[in-house]
Formats: sequence, C-alpha cells, structure tokens
Amino acid sequence: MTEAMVATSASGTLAPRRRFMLLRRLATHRSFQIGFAVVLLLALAAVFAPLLSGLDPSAMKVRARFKPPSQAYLFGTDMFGRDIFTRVLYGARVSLWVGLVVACVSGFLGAVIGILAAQFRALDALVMRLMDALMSFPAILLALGITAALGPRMESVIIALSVAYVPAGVRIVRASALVVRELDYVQAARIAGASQLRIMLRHILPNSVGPLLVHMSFVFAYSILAEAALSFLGVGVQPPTSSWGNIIAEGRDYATQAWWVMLFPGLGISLAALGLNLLGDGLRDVLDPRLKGVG
Amino acid sequence: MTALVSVQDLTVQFRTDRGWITAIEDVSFDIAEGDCLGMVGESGSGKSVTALSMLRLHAKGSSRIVSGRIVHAGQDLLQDEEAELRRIRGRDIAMVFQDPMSSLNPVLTICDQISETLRLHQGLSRPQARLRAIELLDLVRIPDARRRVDEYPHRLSGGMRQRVMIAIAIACRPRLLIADEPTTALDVTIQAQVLELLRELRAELGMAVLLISHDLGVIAEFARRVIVMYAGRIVEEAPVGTLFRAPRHPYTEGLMAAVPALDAGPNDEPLRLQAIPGRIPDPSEPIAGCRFGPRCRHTQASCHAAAPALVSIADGHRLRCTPRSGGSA
Amino acid sequence: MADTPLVEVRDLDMAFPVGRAGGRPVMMQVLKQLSFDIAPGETLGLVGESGSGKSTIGRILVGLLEPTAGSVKLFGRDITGADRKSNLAAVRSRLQFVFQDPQAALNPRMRVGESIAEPLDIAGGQHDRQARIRELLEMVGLPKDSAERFPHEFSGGQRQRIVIARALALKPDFVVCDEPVSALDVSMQAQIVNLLQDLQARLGLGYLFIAHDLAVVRAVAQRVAVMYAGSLVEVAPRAALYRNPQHPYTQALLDAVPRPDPDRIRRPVIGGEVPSLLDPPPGCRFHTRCPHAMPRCRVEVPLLRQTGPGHFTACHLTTQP
Repeated sequence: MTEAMVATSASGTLAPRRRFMLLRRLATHRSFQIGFAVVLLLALAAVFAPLLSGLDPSAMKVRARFKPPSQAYLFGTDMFGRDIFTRVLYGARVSLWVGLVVACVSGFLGAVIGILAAQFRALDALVMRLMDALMSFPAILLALGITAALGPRMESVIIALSVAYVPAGVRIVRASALVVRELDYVQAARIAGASQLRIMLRHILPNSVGPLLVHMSFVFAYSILAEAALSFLGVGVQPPTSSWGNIIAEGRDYATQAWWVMLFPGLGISLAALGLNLLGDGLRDVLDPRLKGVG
Repeated sequence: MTALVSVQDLTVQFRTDRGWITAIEDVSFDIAEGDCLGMVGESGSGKSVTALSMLRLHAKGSSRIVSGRIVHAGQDLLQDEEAELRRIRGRDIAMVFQDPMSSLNPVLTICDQISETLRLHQGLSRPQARLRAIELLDLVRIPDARRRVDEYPHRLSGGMRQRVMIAIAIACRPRLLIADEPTTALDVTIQAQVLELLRELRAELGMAVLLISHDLGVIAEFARRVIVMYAGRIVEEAPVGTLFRAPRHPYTEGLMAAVPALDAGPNDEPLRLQAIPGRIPDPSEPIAGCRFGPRCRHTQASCHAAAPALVSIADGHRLRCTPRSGGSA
Repeated sequence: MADTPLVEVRDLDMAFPVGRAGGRPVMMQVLKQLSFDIAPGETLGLVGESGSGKSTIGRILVGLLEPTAGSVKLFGRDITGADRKSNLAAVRSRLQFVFQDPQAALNPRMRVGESIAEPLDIAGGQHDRQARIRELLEMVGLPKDSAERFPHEFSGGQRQRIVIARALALKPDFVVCDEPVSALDVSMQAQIVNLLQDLQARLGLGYLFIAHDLAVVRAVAQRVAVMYAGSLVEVAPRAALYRNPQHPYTQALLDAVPRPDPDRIRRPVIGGEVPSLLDPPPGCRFHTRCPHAMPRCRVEVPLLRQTGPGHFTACHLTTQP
C-alpha cells in the first residue's frame, strides 16, 4: 500500500446525509408555523374568493343597506348594500398582490444594486448617496408623491412603494456583500481567475441574500399597510375595485352606524401584517448563523 | 487532605437540532491547594465544557447537568444558589479565557474593568480600587502601569490584554485560577512570556492553576499533573513526567507521535509525522464501547463490547483503556 | 540552461494606507526590501509571528495584492511590471493557494464537487469534469460520494482536504500554503502535512509554506526563511537553521517554543513585543528586544549576508570582523 493510499483511506467517514436541514428547521419553528398558516389562509381566501362567496363585490342592493353581520351577509353590508365579506375577500387579492409584488421588486432591485455597489467602489459612493436621499423621505410621503404624479391606480401604488423600499434592501445586501467579498472562498475564485460577474453571481449573491429574504417578508407587511393607507387617502386603488384601505375609507363616514364596514378590512390588514411578521421572525431565526452549543 | 475542588462524575449535555447530546461524561478529578494541573485535548474533547461547568457558566436553556457534583469548601457548586456562586466566581475561583480581543469590554477603561471585581468582592471605594488596579498591573508586569490603567483595551496589544485579563482574575487572590487556552491566540514569544508570568504568580500567590490547552508543549512545560481528554471523557491522568515519558493510552501515544518534533534527531532524518487515522467523533455519534476504538490500532474484542472504565493503574496514574489497565476481556 | 526559479522576488516593498494625518495618507510599511527565490519542486518554509508580513507575501505571490515597489517573477514572468495583467493570466493555471481557515475557504452554498472543479470551469477547455473531480477526491483521500455534499457536512480536516483538492485542479507547479494546518487539531495536522508531502513527491510541486509553528515547518520545508516586522532576518537550509540559528530572533523564537518534554531546561524568555509597523524603530527593527544589541544596530539596517553554505543572516553581529 503506497503512502498516498494510506492518506486516502485515512480521512475518515462522513456523517449520514441530513437533507433539507433549513426547511426542516423552518417547519418546526413555532412563529413560522403560525405566520405561514395565517398567510396561507389569507392567500387561499383571496384566490378562491369567487368560490367562497358567490356574490359580486360591486353589486349594489339598496334594500340591503347597512345590514349588520348575519348569516346571509357574514360581514354585513355597506351604504350601497354591497356585501362586505365579498368585498373584503376581493380586497385581499389587491392587498396581497401589491404586497407580494412590492416585496419581490424591491428585493430584486435591492439585491442587484447592493451587490454592484459592494463590488465597484466608484459606483458605491454614488449609489449610497442616492439611497440616502431616497431614505430621507418617509415611505408614505414618497409614495404619495409618486402616485400623485402617476395617477391613482394599483400600478402606481406598486411602483411607488417599490421605489420607497428599495434603499433598505440595498443597504442590507450591500452590508452582507461587503463582508462576503473579503472571505477566503471569494479570494480563491479570484486566484483562479474568475470574472467579476462570476464572483458576483455564484459566490456573493447566494451568500448575501439571507438577511434580504427576512427583510422582504417585513416589506410585504409594510406594503399592505402602506397600500391601505394610500387607498384610504384616496390616492391608491380607486373604487369600485375594493382594497382593504378604500373599504375603510368608505366606511369612515358611517363609523357609528355601520362599524362592521371598518372593522373587517381592518382585521384583515392586522392579520396579514401579523402573519407576515411571524413568518419573518421565523425566517430570521433559522437563517441567522447560530452558535453551536458544544464547546 | 480535602481537595480544594473535587469534580465528581460530571456529565453535561447540550441541546442541538438533533436533541440533547452529551458533551462530557463521568468526568472526575481533584484539584488540591497550590496544585498545577494541565488539561489537554483537541476540539470536542470537552475540556472547555468542563472548565465552564466548574463555574456553572453555561446558559440554562441550552445545556443541562445530567449528573455529578463539584465540591468546593464543603458545598456542591452545582446545587448552590446563583447568589452564592457569584460570591465564589472571581473571589475563590477565577477564570481566564482564550481570546483577549473579546474578553475585555471595549467601552470601559482597564481601571474600570479591574475595579469591578475589586469593588464587588472586597467593597473597595473607587480611589482604593484604582490604586490596587495599578498594583495589579505592576504584578502582571505591564510597564508604565500608572498611565496604562486609564487606557481602553483597543490601545493594548494581545499580550498586554491577556495580562490584564490575568490581573482581573487574580485581583481577589483566588485559590484556583482556571486558564482556558490562555496563550493560544498569542505569538510564540508572547506565549512564553505569559506562561512565565503564570508560573511566577502561582508561586507568589500560592494559588492552584488549572491550565487547559491543546498544545502538548505548553502542558509539558507548565503542569505538574496532566489530564488527557478525548471525546468528552478523561482517558488518562498522570504526573507530567510519566505522561510524556511513558504514556499508556493509545490516544495519548498517538497524540505524542503526531506532534512534529522541533529538536533535530541525530541524523536529521526526513520527518514523517505519525497521523492518527480517522477523525474525532461527533458528540451525537453513537459508538459502541470505547469512543477511541474506531481510530485505535490496538483494539481487542472487549473494547467494542463495553465502554472502558477509568481505573487507577499506579500511584497518581489513571487510565481508561480495557486492554491496558488489565481489564478482563 | 539552469532551471528557471519558480519564484524570484527582488526588493519587494509593500505599504498600506491606514488613515490620514495632515491631509496625507499614513502608510504602514508591511514589507521592506524582500528578496528570495524558490526553486522548482522545493518547499520554502516562511516563519514569523504576527506583524511579520508573511501572509502578505503569500497574497502578493498569487496576484491578490499588488506590491508598492519591487518585482515578483513567477516562472520567469514579471507579474508586477507593465505587463502584469497578461503575465499573471499566462501563469495563473500554474499557481495556487491553500488557505488557513477551511471554514471560510469554501462557499457554503456550493457543492464540494462544484467548488473543486471551479478552477477548471473558469479556465475552460476540454476535460472530463466528473472524472477529474473523482480523481482529485481520491488524491486527497476523500470518500467518492463527497462531490454531491456541502462543506458543512465535513469536519475541519476533511474541509482542508477539499481546499487542497481544489488547489490541485489545474495541476499547478507552485502552491502557496498560508497556515494550512493552524486551524486544525493536532491529529488532523499530521494527516494534512503528510498529504502535502505525498502530493509534492507525486506531482513535483513547489510550496511556499507559511506558518508560525516552527515545528510544523521543520517537518515540511527544505529551506526556511524567518521574518520579523516585515523583513527577512535569516534564510537557511532546514538543518542549519534549526541546529545553528544565527540571528538572535531565530534563537529567541526557537527557545520560546514549548516542547513536549517536561525535563527540558527552560531558556530565558525574551521580553518586549513586535514593534508597531506604523512607527518602527530605526536601524534593525529587532534591536529593541535583542539581548546583543550594539550601538550600530540602532542606526544601521543590517542587510542579508551570506554566513554559511546557503545560509543568509541579516545581523550586524554575524558580520563583525
């Protein structure tokens, strides 16, 4: 047996494979379980809205105005006799869709800009000043300005909120990327002659997005709240399309008469935000590097 | 004579994703007054866990003490109230850690950090504590102590910081100083200085020292007695001369053979290190019988059948190896 | 024609800006006037404590850092002059690097096989990728099914083997090993050291073996260079260095290393610390701690001079008439 073969047999065995550790840990995390269940429930409700309620959200029935919650009208009716339950279900579609798209778009842009900024010093200074400028505006004000300029529609809201939340994403990714690019395995790739693009895509990106994913779940929640605020103010989704925000707006004048008009969309917003926060907490706990216990 | 500290049958477990795993098992040893004990082992051997357990420094939620006692001054430290332990930590038993960079608080001056333990245990006033702190810095041979005492940790080099750590540890004249890899992060020449300091302090203050290290050379030059740990268990304990001249446990032998020799052999032969095959077992790995078995060249049937017990084979020499301690097959 | 040295370093200077004072950047001189060669198939051990600059040299030799002055030639090509980019590209496949921390040296999100084959993928060209990965795994003694796994499934010693496998992917002639075993347990160290020696014998590699552990260096190197505060203080064949060290720092270093021999008579411990590189002492940088310092040492920087066969020392003591 040659010397080399002694070394060969000597490295020892590997532990048996435990696949999908991350997913398993996520699945057993209490906060994540609850958050995920809530969000899933809301999403399913939104998707299957027509099945859950056979009614038309815009159908007005003058005879059925201001009916309190009952068996026929689960959440009651509004000043036009429209079924609030149906309107809330269809409103969920809008809110969740806006939240999802904003989270994805701002996350994607944040990742791209963040990694580029971390990689190229010259770009970095410019980008960070730009982000600082954007961040100096409160997100709602910024969104107000943009929707005012683009005209009040769901698409404007999405664009506006995406822009408003990009800087935070950039910061998070840039911070991680700056650390990762100094690590030995990136140096190893440089030594082997890897191009900047390869380093950014294969090494820096996959190892910098953990915190971003957590952040995105919170952006999802913020967007739902922001969209509701914008629609409430009248610069977001316009009636008759229902969004949780504009249902509340419509119900404001009748708060004492028909409290259910404001309550149920409000509950929807709270539930969605809560669920997403719990989900985000779970993600953060699982993705954060944990201290190994045994010394 | 009663030991200063007597660790008896200590078993500690940690919580991980895979459930509770045993970090150390059935660890028993005594430290006498003025003793100089070395504890040597590689990663996963449990030496740091043992040290931290002696002062019950592990987090409550993720670790638990399954069994054992740590007897000091007639009391079991593991059963004591937290308040009682706080009195002992720093005053009777003190500890120095490995990484001087993170052991000192960066926003407090040296004076504040040394004074903290003095004012806590001895009730000194601020001016009194400051004077004593300067004395202590002199004691650990930090030049220009009067000026240095007001500096922040980042202005000091690694070697200096470690001396400050030692000063904090000996401030209240503890009976036992536990030093967990105190020189591992330091340069060789600085390491020699710090070890010499520890030797001198031990002589001057008459305190016992438990020195933990993975470096056999450090242990050989410092300790009077040595405990060898592997995979959470004590595998051998002997006076230092015996251990290095005539080790009995195959792991100890393997370790000695794997350390590259610095002093030349007679012919300056090309050197080939004797590696121990395999790797250190993961604590959660179930191994039947002796935990060193899979890597040992001298196993017999009895080794895999049952875990060997730690037996005394000579005066002051204990061994956990069935074939070599005259154990029956 | 004589063999072109693998590595030729001449008058290497390296300084880093560490802040500003009075409107100008403050420079820290990390390497000063370094010159040495490495022959093909040779292992040069580079020893030093913190602040010696040994890691910086390693990075300069593989093109990760550009020196402030001096020249570095690899396989006869100058990677520091006007054509540095093209020269470096030409020799890139012949040199490699083994890192100290096996944890940080592997992308945790890439499978081991991918990491090992990355140099191949970057270099392009025809090759049977899977076969080469298998071959490399076998060469470093890892189980065959390792390629599909992720780094966290391996122990520290095994990860270091993966790093070495990756370094060998393109069949380099020269490998810089920066503290390759410092982060490993003693029993692992021996395995990796033996592996590196086997590979050298099998593949004819040259190594620059950077370490702070004199004992480990003794086991692998044929020649040893000792650094202190950015300069070479002694270079000698292994036997000569360990048996007859001539520079006071080398002697102090050898004295300070603890031996696994309880009966050894301890030598006096040298005092002081490595000087700050921002404000180094004049003359010989070691004179503040040297037991034999003379007035001349405070003023004049000693140059590396031959003091024996293949033995060079930078000390005024050895050049006394």
